[in-house]
Amino acid sequence: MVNEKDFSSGLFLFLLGLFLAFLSIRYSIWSKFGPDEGFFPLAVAMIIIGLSLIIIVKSFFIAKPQEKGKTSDDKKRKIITTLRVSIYVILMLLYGFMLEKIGFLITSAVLIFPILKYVEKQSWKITLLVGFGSIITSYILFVHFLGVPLPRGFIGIW
Amino acid sequence: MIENLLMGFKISLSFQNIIYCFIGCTLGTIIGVLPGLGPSATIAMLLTLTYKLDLTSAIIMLAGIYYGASYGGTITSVLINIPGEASTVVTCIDGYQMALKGRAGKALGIAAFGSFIAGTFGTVGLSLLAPPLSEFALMFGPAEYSALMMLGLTLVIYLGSGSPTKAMVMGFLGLAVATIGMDPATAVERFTFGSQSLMEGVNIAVLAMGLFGIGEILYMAESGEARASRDAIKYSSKLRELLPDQYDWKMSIKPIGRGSILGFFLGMLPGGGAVISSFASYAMEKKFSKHPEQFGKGAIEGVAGPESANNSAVSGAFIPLLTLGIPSNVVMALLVGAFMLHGVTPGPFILKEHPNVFWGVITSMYVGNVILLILNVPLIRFFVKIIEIPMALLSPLIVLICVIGAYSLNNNAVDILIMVIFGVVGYLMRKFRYEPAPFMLGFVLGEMLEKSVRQALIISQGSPLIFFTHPISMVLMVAMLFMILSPIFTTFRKRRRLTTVLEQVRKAASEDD
Repeated sequence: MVNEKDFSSGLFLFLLGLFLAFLSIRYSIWSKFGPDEGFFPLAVAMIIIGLSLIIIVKSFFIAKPQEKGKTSDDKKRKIITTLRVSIYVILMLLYGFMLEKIGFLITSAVLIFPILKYVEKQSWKITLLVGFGSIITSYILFVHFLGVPLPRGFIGIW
Repeated sequence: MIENLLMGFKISLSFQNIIYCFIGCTLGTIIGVLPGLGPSATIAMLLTLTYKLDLTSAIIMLAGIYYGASYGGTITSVLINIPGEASTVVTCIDGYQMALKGRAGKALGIAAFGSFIAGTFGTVGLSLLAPPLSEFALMFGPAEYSALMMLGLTLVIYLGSGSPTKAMVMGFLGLAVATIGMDPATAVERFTFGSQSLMEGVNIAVLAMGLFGIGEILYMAESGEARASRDAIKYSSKLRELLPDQYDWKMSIKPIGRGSILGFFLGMLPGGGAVISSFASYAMEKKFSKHPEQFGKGAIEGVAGPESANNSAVSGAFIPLLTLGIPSNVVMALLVGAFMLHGVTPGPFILKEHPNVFWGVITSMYVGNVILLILNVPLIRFFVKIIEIPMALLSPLIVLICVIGAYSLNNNAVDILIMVIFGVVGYLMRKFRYEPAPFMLGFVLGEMLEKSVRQALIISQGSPLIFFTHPISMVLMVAMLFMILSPIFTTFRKRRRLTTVLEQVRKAASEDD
C-alpha cells in the first residue's frame, strides 16, 4: 500500500526540480572561463529530481502510518482547523499588502483583533487588552526605542 | 601568556568597562529576543552608542551586545522555536523540544554555562595559538572551501530525526532558494521574476521567521493535541529546580568540550566556518551518542554541543581578524569598523604596535561572556514563564512581532509576504514529515558553496579533480564520503547481525525439536 503523503510530496518535489531545471537552462551554463550562473542551480535541480524519485519509489515500500477511520466529527474538526490556519495566513498576507497603504496602527488592529476574538476565541476584554497592549508596546519598542520608521499610511496616524 | 592576559584584564576590568558591558548585555538580550534581529543587526543598530568611548570600552560594550543578542536568539530558539541567527537554528531542534517537555530552564541554563566554558577555552586558545593558526587559515583556497561546504552539507543527514533522503532533499532545496537574486559573479538576476525586492535574494531572518516561527504557529493552530500539551507545561519558580542537574551535566560536559574545540577551529576559517560549527557539533554529538534516536526529541547534548561550538567559534573568528585583518563574518566586520573609528587597523602588526589593544580586546570578549552568565542565568526563571502563556494568546503576539520584525529589516512589505510564504512551506513540511533545519543549512551554505565551487572550477579549467588533488580538500572530501556512506554501512551491519541472531535462534529451536 502506497504511503500517500510521501508519494505526493515526492511528486511535488520532482515537478519542482523539473521546473527549476527548466528555468536554469535559460541562463548560461558554461563559458570559456568556467561555470556560469545557470550551472549551480541546474546541478542542484538534477539532484533534487534524483532524490525526489527515491522518495517516490520508497513510498511504495514504506508502511503507511495506521490511521483510525474518520467519523463525521473528525471531518468537521478537520474543516475547522484548516479554517483556523487559513485565516492566520490570509490575515498575515493582508497585513503585508495593507501595511504601507493604511499604516501600522490600523493594519495591526486588523491582524490581531480577529485572530484573538474569532480564531483563538478570547473574550472581548482579553481581546482588547492584549490587542491594544501589544500594538502600543510594539510601537514604543520599534519606533521609539529602535528607530524603525513604521508606515503611517494615507490616514497619517500610526 | 599569563602576564599578557593579566595586562588585558587590567584594562578591561575597570568599573567603568564592567558597567558598559552590563549595559551592552542588557540591550543586546532585549533586542536579540525580537525575531529577525540577530547579533549582527543588533550590533549594527547599537554601534553608534560606542562612538564616544575609547577603543577598549567600545569593544567591551560591543562584546556585551554581541553575547546578549546571541543569548537572546537562544532564548527565542528554545522558547518559541524562532532562531535568532543561522547558528541557533540547531538549538531549535532539541532546545524547543526540551521546552515542550518542561525542560526549557535546563536548555537555557546549559546553553549559558556551555557558552561560558567554551568562551574560556576560546580565550586561552586564542592567546596561545593566534599566530600559528592564522597561517593555517590562509591555506584554505576555493577548493578547500568547496570541500568544507560540501562536508557541511552532508551534515543534513544527521540534522533530521527522520528519513535521510528527505533531509538531503531539503538541504538541496535550501541551496536552490539561496540562488535567488543577483549572481555574485556575473550580476545576472536569477529567479527574481522581475521583482526588485528579490534582487538581493531572500533574507535569512525572513526565512528563519517564516519556516520556524510562522510554520510552528500554523501547525499549532491546527493541532489541538500539540497545543494542549504545550499549554499544560508549568514551571517551578525556584531557580535550582530549573537549572541543569547532575545528570544533565554528566550528559553535557563532553559535548561542551568537543563543541568548544570544533567551534574554535572552524570559527577561524574566514567565510563560513563559524556558521557550520553549530551544525557540525550537532552531527558529531549525534554520531557519538549512545542514544542517537533521542536527538530531535529533546536531547540536552543537542543544545550543549552546538551552543558551545557557536561561542567558541567567536574566539576562533578573532584569529584572522587580529592577526591578518580579515573579518571572517559580519560581526567581525562590524568590529573592524569600531577599530578603524578609533584609529587602529587590525592586522599583522597589531600585536607589536598595540599589544594593550590586542590583549584588551581578547579579555573584553571574555568579560562579556562572564557578565552574560551573571545577568541571564538568574533571569531564566522569568524567561521560562513565557512557555506558560497559553498559545491562544502567544500565537497572535508572535505573529505581530514577526510581521513587524520582517518589515523592519528593509522597510519592505514584500519581506512580510515572503515570510508568510515560507511560513506555509514550514507548516507543510511538518505535515508531510520533512524538517526545516536541513533546508536552513542548505540556504546558509548556498552562496559560499556556489562561489567557491565556481572559483575552484575556473582555476582548474573545469576539472573536478581539483577537489582531490589539494591535500586539505581531499581529506575533507574523504570525510564527506565517509559521512554519506557511514549510515548505509551501519544499516547493513545491523541487518547482518540481525540475520545472524535469527539464524542462531532457528538453529537452537530446531535442535530442541
